[in-house]
Parts: sequence; C-alpha cells; structure tokens
Amino acid sequence: MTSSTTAGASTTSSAPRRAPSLKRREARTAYAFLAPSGIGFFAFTLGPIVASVVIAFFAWPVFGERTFVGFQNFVTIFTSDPMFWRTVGNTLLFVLLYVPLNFVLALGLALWISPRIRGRGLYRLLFFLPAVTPIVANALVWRLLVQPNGVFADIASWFGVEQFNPLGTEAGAMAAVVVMSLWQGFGYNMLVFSAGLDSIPDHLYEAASLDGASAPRRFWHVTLPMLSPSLFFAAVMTLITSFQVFAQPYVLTGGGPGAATTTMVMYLYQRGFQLFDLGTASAVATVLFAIIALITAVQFLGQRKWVHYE
Amino acid sequence: MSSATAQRPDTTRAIVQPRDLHDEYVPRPASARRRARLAREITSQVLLTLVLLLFLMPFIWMLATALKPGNEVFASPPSLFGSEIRWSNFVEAWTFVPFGRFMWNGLVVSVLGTLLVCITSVFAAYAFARMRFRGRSGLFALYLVTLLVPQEVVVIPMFIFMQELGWQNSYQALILPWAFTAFGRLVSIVADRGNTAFNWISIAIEALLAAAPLAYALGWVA
Repeated sequence: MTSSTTAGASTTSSAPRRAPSLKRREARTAYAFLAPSGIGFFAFTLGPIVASVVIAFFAWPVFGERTFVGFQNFVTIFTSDPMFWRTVGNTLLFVLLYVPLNFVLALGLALWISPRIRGRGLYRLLFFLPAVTPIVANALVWRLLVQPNGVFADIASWFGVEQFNPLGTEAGAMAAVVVMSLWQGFGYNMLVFSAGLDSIPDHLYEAASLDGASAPRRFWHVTLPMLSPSLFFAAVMTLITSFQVFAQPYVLTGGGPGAATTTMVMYLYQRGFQLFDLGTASAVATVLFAIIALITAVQFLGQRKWVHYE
Repeated sequence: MSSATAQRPDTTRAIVQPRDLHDEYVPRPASARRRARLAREITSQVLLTLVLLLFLMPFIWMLATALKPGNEVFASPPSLFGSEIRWSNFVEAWTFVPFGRFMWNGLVVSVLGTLLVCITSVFAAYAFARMRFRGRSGLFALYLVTLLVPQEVVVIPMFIFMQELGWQNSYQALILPWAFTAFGRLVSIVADRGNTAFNWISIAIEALLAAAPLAYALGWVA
C-alpha cells in the first residue's frame, strides 16, 4: 500500500515538460523493479509487524468487540500475570544454556571435520540433517527416547540410574529441551563455521607457524579473528532464533512440568490461540521483539570491537 | 554428490600444512612421524564416525519405530527391532490419512513460494545493487530490520489479515506471506555484489524455504 504511493510520487514529481533526466528515469525504473517485492513486503512483512504493535494496545478477542485500551495489556502482563515473568525467565534460561553450548559444539565439529577427514562432505551433510528435517517430527522421536521406559532410561539403568524420567522434573525437562534443540540446531552453525574456516588463506597459518606460533596460538590469533564475521553472523542468528524457541518445548514437554519449560512464544501462542486474547498476546510479542531488537542492536554496536572484516 | 565433496580433501590439504612445517623442527625420523600422523588421522576418523552414529540415533530410532508393530513401540525394555519388520506400517500410514494430498500441499506451497521469491527478488536486488534512487539506503535498512523480527510476532496480525481476506485454509495464505520476507532479496543483493564470503547465507535460505512450508503443511501452526 505505501509502496504504491512512493511509486506514484515519483511519476507525478516529473511534472515539467522537459524529458526526464537520466537520473530520474533510472529512479523510476528502480521503483518499478522494486514494486513486485515491495508491495508484498509492505503487505505481508512490514504491515503485520506494525499491526502487531497496534493490536497490543487493544482488547482484541478473536470474536467480538475490539476496544482501545492503551497500555492496559502491558500493565496486565507486567503486574498481574505471574506466568509472563515465569516465561521470560524460562526463555532466558534456555538462551543462556543453548547459545554457548551450540557454539562450542558447532565450532568443535567444524574444526574436527578438517580437510584430513575423508568424506567430510558426507559428515557435514549428516550433522546438518536434523536442521532440515521437520522440527515436530524430530521432537516426537525425542519424546519417544526420553520417556520413562525409553532408550535413554534403558541406557541410564546400565549405570545404575533407576527411574530415569527427565520430563518429570523441572530441571530435567529444561535439560531435555536444550539437548534436543542442540541436536536439532547446531548443524546449521557448524556449516557456517566450516565455510568460514575453509576460506581462511593457508598462508596465514604458514606465516604463523614459521614465526613459531603453537597450535593453540594459531587458533587464538589466526583462526578466531579470521572467523569473526562468521561468528558474528552466527551469534546474531542463534540469539534471535533461540529467543523464539517454540516447537521443541511445545511437542517435547508441552511446556511442563507445570510451566517449567513454557517459553515466551509458547505463552503468546497460548494467550492468542487458546485463550483467544490477541491483545495481550501481541503485547507479549511486542516485548519479545523489543528484547530481541535490543540484544541485536547491542551486538551490532559491539561488533566493531571484535569482528574483523578483510 | 558426496563423492564429489570427498575429493576435496586432497585439493585443500594445504590447510594442514602449517602443522607439518612446525613438526619439521622436532628431531624425529620421518617414517615414525608419518606413522604417528596416520595413526592420529585414523583415530580421529573412527571417533568422528562413532560420534556421528550416536548423533544419528534419533533418526535410526525413528526408522526402527516405523517398522515395529504398533503395540511394541512403548515396549519395555526398548529394543531396536520388534518381533517383526512391518513394512505394511507405511502402507497403513499412507492410507490412514490423505498423505498424498499432504505431500501435494507441501509441494505446491514450496515450489510456488520459491518461484515467487526468486522472481521478485531478482528485480529488487538489481535495483538495490545497480541503481541509484531516492530512499535507497533507507528502504534497504528497512528490509534488513525486518529480518530481526521473530515470525511469531507476525503470526497474530497475519492470522487476522487472512481472516479478513477470507483466506483461511488456502494455498495463498501459506505462500504469499512467506514469499515476501526479506531473506531472498538480501541474498540476491549480496550475490549480485559477488561477495562469496556470504555464500553460507544461501544455506539459510534453502533451509528456510524447505522447512517453513513443511512446518505449515504439517500443521505446526494452526
């Protein structure tokens, strides 16, 4: 909708009789090129984002009367809704556990699957596999594995651990969600890091070796700085997606036991599509967006300190 | 495909050269050094394969479960193989739900979505990368910022929007919104500038394009 007005403005602004200048003609072509994706972008991406924030200021049931309530939805979730803070805490706990472990696993395996490994393409593909198989199917298999008489319980009993039931305890359920998410998600970062590692020129390592740098020092002073753009990209993307965690707890634990693994997105889903209260659900979404935007902004501001672009 | 990638170790072998150079300074017979390195490489390969098998266990279990008789899925103690290998499970699943229809839905959504995003992205990317116009950098920044917005934020207004359009349970509701996310454009822009360091982003697109419609086709989001 808005894009059509900008496109219209460019044609009406060429009012003078003279033939439009080259610059203006180029701009007009550019707007025409942008229009197909631009219209869709405004209607289906930017529009809903703005709408989400607007809805947060309304009492908006799925069926029935909508009324403007100002900040009431935010006041409700911040003050009189213990579940909201619980889910914020759960989400933060998940992010704090998931992101560092994901990085360690992804970088570790990216380094391990070095050029010395035969068939490294196949290894990469197979470690990446869970990232492209449907997350719901993955979570269902994991539920089968971690149930009280499942494979993990069987393995635990070999080591004398009886009554192995991680989903029955709060800490265990969160651990199960984190482990399943790691299994599902680290392959993606591993590919990112692998591509980054492969593009580091050999002569840097040769030079460092000739200067007598040991393997750990080469890793610290060559690999990490050269990999920093990949690390930055992965950090931004992983943080964004881990704050949005939904399917894993939804399928694996149902948010339980109690509310131990109910995440912010699960909570906004419950409020919106089970309690049919779109207003407070959008308020939760807006808060989540604010958190993610803030963290991403901090990362972008901080990148000057540690990210090296050639 | 895997055989082609398997060739790569020899061409990129130079990456491991530095360590060899470093080892040069250690006074040891060359043959012993080579043997020690070979042993290290074999150990590494075997260990990695073990880790991989462990990692793939959920998939192996998924396949094994698919071939068990239904009443043995929750058997205790669990075993990889049931009393029989039941291939008929697949036939039953196929006929129990309209699976062919599900796959067709997934195919329509992903193919049309991909075509749409490719076509519109090529034009937009060319405009951003090669042309000068007012609001170029501002518009580009706007595109990028939307990448940071979680999809769940968009789901509720999108639901209302689709309700208003009367598009519930339609292909266009699954295709159109996701075909216009900024991702495709970002990639083609980057590719147009020939920045190969960003090649890995294309992996993200493929994964997203493959996974998102599937998630919807499988009913992840109501």
